[in-house]
Amino acid sequence: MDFLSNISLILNYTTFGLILGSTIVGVLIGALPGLSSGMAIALLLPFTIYLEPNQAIAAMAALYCGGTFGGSITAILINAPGAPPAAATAFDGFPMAQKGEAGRALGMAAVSSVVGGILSLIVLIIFAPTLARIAYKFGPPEYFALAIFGLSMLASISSKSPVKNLIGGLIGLFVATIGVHLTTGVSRFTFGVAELFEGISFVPVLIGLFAMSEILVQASKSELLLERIKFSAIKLPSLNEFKSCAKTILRSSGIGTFIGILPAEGGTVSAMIGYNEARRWSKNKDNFGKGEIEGVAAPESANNAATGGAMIPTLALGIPGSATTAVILGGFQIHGLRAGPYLFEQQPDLLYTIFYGMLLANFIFLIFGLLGAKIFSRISLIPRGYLWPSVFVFCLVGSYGLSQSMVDVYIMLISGVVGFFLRRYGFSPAPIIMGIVLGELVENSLAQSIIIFDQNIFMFFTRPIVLVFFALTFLSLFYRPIKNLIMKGK
Amino acid sequence: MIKDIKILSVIIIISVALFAYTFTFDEVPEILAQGMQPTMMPRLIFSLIIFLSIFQLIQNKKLKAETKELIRRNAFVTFGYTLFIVLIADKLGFFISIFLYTLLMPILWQRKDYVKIFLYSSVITLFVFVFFTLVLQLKFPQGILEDFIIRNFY
Repeated sequence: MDFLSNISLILNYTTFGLILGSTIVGVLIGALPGLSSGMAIALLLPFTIYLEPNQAIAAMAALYCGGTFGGSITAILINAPGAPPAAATAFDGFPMAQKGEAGRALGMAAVSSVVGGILSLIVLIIFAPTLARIAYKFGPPEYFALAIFGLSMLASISSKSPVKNLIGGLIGLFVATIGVHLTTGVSRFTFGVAELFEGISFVPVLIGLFAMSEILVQASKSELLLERIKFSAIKLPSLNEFKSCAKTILRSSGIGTFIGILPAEGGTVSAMIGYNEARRWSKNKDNFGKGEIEGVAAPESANNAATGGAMIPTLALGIPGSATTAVILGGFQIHGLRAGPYLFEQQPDLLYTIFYGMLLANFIFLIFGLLGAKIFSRISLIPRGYLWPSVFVFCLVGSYGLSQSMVDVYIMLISGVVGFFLRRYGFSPAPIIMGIVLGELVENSLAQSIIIFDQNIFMFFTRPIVLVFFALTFLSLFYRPIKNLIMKGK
Repeated sequence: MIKDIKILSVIIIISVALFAYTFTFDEVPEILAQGMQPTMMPRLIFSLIIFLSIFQLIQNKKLKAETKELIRRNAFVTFGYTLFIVLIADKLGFFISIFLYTLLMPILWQRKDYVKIFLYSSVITLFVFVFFTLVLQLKFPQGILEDFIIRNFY
């Protein structure tokens, strides 16, 4: 890819301003406990329709980067991770802040986030086109197997309940079947409602599951009194500290990028594994949990590295690498784009804009994260009584805005209630979103494969790439039970 | 009680009902369906959901249900008021509905700084009107303010 010569794509006021604004909004939203970058993109998605597709997608990617970093600010200062990927940062970040080293912790978080983010972008720039070239050889059977592999990875998103994640993914697949079946014209689950004939719009479901359900969750909580740690100035890690953490940052960036590439796995898993590996290899493992600076560097570099990693399958294959990239794929749909290998041939400008947007976002949040951490931490103290009604206003306007239909507002509200109850019983909204995004691909590629194979489904097993994906699917579904069985045997 | 029995039972019942509902779909001639009837995918999905839910119940059979914290009254009040606002938004108009929502919701969430609430509510409503309607040209239901808005702003 002629990477350097395309920098002019973001060097105009509108694109640059959008990336700058989105990154700052991302950091702000990431810093707010309960609000995630996925939710922010979902809420802003309908309004990106007014932008050029390049600008809209680059802005979403920048928001994703900013939001992932933003979570660390409140994790360190008030022990309330702004977003799940920053949960591991709080383990050592908050104890450091309590010891009066908030500035040092924030400094390390910002620097390691940027290192992780940029390293993963380099992998993205090198690896995504290669993956896309391989994907050129994919036909419908390969895409079907890949989508099934993506869904099976839901089993390993969270260690709590793989089965619940799979059920969530299937619920998403069901939602994607609602509407008139394209090939046969048969109405499915429309119950005579004309507005459902074209299917359920992705955006209101997204807003409902992410934002509306969170409003109801927050309504059930009592007012939290968060104590903000005082700090005078942000102090960057010294060269010696940076040197001592360099190995950890590099290792965690590698872990984050790799986990990000895996379909469905995102920043939270990366950060947890990055943190655990840092503790395992550290000379100061006893200090972990008590304010060890490596304990901040590891999850922050891992969760930011996961952003670049997650964009690789998203752009090259059209398979989301994380919940937030599933929302970004929704953005592709809204702008009439289809992520996948042909994107590299047909829309190179879009890809360059995304790469540069993410690169720029990393530098922006380094500067603003360091200079504005004090202000950002104050944002988290906005009373809930003002914050969540404002979020609802965005839910209302966002779900109505795209199709200008009240039915979408009702769908948003219903999705919110369903999401609230599912979350109460340990289901996460992320697998449902993944299911909805992959639904069309699963059904269409299966239908096309059946035609190609002349209705003999055993022909799937004659295709080597399909076999590889099926083997990976088997591993992702049964790795843990097999491992447990072996452990029991020992 | 077995862990998650309530939610998994609800999921199973709904899946069985929707599976049964697929039998009401129109049959399509084989030449048109090309090997995949429109009922195939939903049936496959519901079968898997039912299978996985039962599997989860079997896995949980030795685990006792955790006592869940009761849903607070505030969640019901929030949902009720939100539903009310959504239902009247079409008739009353988005701007008045947003004003009413942002005016009363902070009070329902135990805020008592009434002047600030009024200011907050006015600023949010004004922001939505200026940014979304005047700048982005989004046309929301304007309800009883329709004449006033059309006369003065279009």
